Amino acid sequence: MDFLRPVTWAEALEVKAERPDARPIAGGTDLMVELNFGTTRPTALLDLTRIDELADWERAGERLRIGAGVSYARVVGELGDLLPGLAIAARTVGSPQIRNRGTIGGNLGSASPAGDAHPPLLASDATVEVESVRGVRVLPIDGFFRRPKVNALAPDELIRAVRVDRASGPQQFAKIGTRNAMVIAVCSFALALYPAGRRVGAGVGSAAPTPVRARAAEEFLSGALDWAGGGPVDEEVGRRFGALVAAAASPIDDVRGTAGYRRHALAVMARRTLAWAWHDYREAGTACA
Amino acid sequence: MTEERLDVEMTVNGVPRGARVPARRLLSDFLRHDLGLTGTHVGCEHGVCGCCTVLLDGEPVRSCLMFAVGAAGHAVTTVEGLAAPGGSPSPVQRAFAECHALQCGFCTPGFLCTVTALLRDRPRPTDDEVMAGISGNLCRCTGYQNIVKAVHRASELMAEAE
Amino acid sequence: MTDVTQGNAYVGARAPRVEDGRFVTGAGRFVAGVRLPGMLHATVVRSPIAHGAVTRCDPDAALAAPGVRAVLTPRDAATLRLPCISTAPGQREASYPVLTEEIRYVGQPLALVVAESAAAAEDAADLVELDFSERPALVGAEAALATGAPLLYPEWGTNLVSEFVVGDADAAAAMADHVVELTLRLGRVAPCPMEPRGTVATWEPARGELTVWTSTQAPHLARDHLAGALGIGCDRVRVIGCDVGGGFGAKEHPYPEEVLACLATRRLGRPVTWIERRGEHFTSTLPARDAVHRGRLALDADGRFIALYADILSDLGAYPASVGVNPAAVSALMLPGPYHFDQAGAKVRAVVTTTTPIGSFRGFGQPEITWTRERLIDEAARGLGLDPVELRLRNMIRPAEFPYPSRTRQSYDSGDYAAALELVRDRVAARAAATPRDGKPRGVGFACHVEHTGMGPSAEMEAAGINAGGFEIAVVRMEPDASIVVSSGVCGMGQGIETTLAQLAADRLAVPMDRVKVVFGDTAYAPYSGLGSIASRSLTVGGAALIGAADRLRRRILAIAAHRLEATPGDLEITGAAVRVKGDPAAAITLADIAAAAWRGRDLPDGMSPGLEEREVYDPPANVYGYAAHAAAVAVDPDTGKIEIEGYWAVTDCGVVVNPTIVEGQLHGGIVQGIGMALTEEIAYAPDGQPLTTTFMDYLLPSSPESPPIEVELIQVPSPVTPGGMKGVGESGVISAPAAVGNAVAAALPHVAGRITATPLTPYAIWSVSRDG
Repeated sequence: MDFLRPVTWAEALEVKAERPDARPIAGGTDLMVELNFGTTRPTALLDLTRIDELADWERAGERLRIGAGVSYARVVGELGDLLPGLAIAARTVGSPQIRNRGTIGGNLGSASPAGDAHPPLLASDATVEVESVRGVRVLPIDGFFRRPKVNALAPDELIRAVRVDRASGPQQFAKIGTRNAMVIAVCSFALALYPAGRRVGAGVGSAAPTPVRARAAEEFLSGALDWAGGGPVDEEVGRRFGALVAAAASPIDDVRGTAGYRRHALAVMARRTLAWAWHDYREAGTACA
Repeated sequence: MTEERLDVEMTVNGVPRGARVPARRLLSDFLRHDLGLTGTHVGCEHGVCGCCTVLLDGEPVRSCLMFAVGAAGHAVTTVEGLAAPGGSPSPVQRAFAECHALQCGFCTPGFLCTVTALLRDRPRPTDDEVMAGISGNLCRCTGYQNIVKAVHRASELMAEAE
Repeated sequence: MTDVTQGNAYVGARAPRVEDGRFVTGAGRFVAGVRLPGMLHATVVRSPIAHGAVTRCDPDAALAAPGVRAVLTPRDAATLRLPCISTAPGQREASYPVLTEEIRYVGQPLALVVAESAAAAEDAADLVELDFSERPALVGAEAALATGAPLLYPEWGTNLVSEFVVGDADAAAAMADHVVELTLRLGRVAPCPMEPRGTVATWEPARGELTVWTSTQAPHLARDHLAGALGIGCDRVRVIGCDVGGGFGAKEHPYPEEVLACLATRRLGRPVTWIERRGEHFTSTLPARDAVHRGRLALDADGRFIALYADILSDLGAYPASVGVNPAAVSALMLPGPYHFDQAGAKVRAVVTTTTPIGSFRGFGQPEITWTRERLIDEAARGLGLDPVELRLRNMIRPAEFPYPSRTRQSYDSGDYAAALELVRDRVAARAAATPRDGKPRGVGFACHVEHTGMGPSAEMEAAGINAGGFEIAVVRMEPDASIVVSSGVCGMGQGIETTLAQLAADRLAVPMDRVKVVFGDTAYAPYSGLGSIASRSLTVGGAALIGAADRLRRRILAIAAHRLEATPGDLEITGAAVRVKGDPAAAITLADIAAAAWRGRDLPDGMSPGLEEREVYDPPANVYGYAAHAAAVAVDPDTGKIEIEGYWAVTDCGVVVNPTIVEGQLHGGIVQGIGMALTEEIAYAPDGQPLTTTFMDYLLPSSPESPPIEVELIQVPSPVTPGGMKGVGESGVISAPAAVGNAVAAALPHVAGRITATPLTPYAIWSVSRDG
């Protein structure tokens, strides 16, 4: 196994072009497990930890660009106000030690259906900036996840950054696991409200071959909320929203729960996150008024 | 098939150390086998149990989920480096013994490293902060009861020392 | 009974642990830290299929890989077998093969690859070419008895290994006003010590001696079984137990991997190490429990217990391993718990399935039966409209009744069962009353158990089919400088025995604890122990032996001092590192003077032999029985089914407490293991026999957030059996915990309480029973 250690982004892209077989590795929190278990034996590893430009995030107006190498710990510590949904999700990742090493780019690279960062990125209309020696592509996150553990990267491409607008309204994330810490979600859900556009984003994790957006649920809820008046959410609206979120999933039975339980739990989380987010929305409205 | 070997150098417990190792040498194995620092334990090799926790530039990380070469040029602290230079135990080490926060002792080095960093960042943690702070280290012996006590006790000892 | 209050009163003191100095500095000596010059590394090739046979095993490609020194296949180990420590009525095999081509579970060892590095061995393991013929898998104890089930051993004609009755068989049909019947399951779980298993073996041809460092709870038992398997004399095998990073039953006997490492070092003449990877732990280290009990409790109209019956079906996995059916037998023996019954009995059946063989885990059959008995009692109380604590109290054995003969052949020695339950009830009542108003259903559940400890009388063990002696030997020596060395056959695995034995010795000999060194674990110098540190026996049996030896040594010291001081021994006391005449402190001789003289063979009373060393063999005259009452308070998320434990209480009687801090720690750990069993932990298999839980992300040990605040209180009713008054406590915490949690969940969800019958109570499981209820 070759161990390739570029120190600049340009060098990394050249290496990846020459060695498309090289598996990128950042925090290593997913890939190292596979290596230690012997379930994957790559011919080469491409270590991205020495590339400084990946390790930062920047803000231009409302636009944020988060380098692929930014750790969950930094998302929690530095982006809590700008991207609360992603920060809540990052706080539930693994353990303190894993949050210190694991990165947003790594989560996207692994493309696990259970990746904790995915639902909030889906709910907040993120795009993924990928690059190769051939140039840059900016991919909507919707189409980024292709199959379990397979994303839309070409063999010579690397993930450079995630682009996402700062939150313009309340964001929430919820996850159900059998254990509280260090757990693979039985299922997870992220909600983002966009008061200006009077619409919502809804991302579902661990309940389909890939993380998915609950489009029908988004459309329904966008039209059903009393954006202007900030009136309470009708119970029936919550139920319907939950049902539509559950319908967006195509879960499986496994040792953590059945498909039926996952649909049920998604509906519960959808209702709950809606209640929390709408509470925040009304509070914010009161504060402004 | 000859494996590529690399010179890996880092500061371990304040001392420059190095060895020539295969690229795929884990940091945990590097510390244990190449440097003889067997206090860092390996309990799962998939980043869950926390026994192998060391401090990398002061932050707790899983040494089983890193290559040694990935830590090259950085500063690593292991359980062997927690005591004061004269060998007197650190407040965290003292508190763990005082509060019976260990039984078999296998998970203990990882907890000691994790808690050392936790108390540096939060010198007077709440119960919830302690619970969250140690949630990445598994212990099968203590039910965590006395570990939580020991974190608070270490916090007191550190405050007294100031 | 011996006086338990003499000496320096170390007994009962919260003495700091002598083990901790090395553990908090990273200086513990665990087996994976043992490095020998020229050491080779071994990895095990394991079966990927559940049932079938190896039709081809070609090691050539692996042997040609870089660094590989040997590949051992079933042919190399055709005759090597490990013995079962206990066998059950009807059990056809009393041993099991180390390597065989007949496959009966995923993870079964098929070959051993030995190479210059662990990495080289693991790479080469993939190159061992294997072909299989497959047969249908068999998962689940009930499925094993179904007509047409695949047979693991066709020559048996059945998957049933053993069937027998304990106690009153007619309890099954007892007539009464009220009868509660439930089918209860305690799932398959893993002891999961944080330190994986491991071994380092080295054969020295010139000496003809094998030395084995291994992570074991029972060094002599490992020595005997390794020597037997390999055909080497016991005198030529030395087992060195290391610091053991948790045992909980998983390390109480040698495993095939240890035999294979020994075989490899004999072949190669170089040291060989094998260290278990966590990824193989869940199929290679024996799991436990996995029992289905059809339980029946009959009561009269006043809530008096008439009869308790359990039809116990145990899933042994691929073969009866080291302890085989014995956990299920212990379930049956401990069926009645702390209550009176006119009749109590059990039928035990044990079957084989294509899963990893089961073994020992803290509690050993007792959590299973406690789950059954205590769940039945709560559902009976609910049915009768009685308070569950009150119902228990009405039926409890009273202090005046000891020794109490149970309907299942146990002779309970002592206790005050009702006092403990009343105390735990008071503690629960006294808790902060402010219940959050979040609409979650909440409940409190209670559970009680009597724990079989201090195994045991050797004669009784023989009668029970256990092929080991139950005695312990202690040797106490005062060195020429008056320091004390204690050698014991039990050993340390985190339970603090190094400290508590030092406390007992310091107490009996009236010397400071820091003058006492406890040594154990190395068969070259530790006295023989047939069982080692298992079954809550280390302090009870090992400590009793030590008390005997220390008392002898004390008498010897006093006899020498009496001779020197021209006094009678009865007028002397040991204090301040000297023997003094009571009331005349000037008339004294230092312990160092006595010790130096004794080891020089001078100034001794007529007829006394030189030296200051005494030895005691303690074969317990009877088992001793600890007791506990537990309570758990839970909140249930009605939508997701997630359970949160909000409080936990345990009142425990383990007789005389040598170190309360250590006892509390044992209970904390056991309780959280029981909570894990109740809520998160389960080894699951797919119908094709593939294990579904092979990592710490699938097999969920409790982490700190799952661990509720636990209040422990100790009551001390000294055992009249044990010198020193101790009863075992190592397993106590885990025994009642699943039942207390289950009863609390049932109390929170009364409309579906009768369906709270199986562990783990995961969010999904709770949702399932709630939805269908």
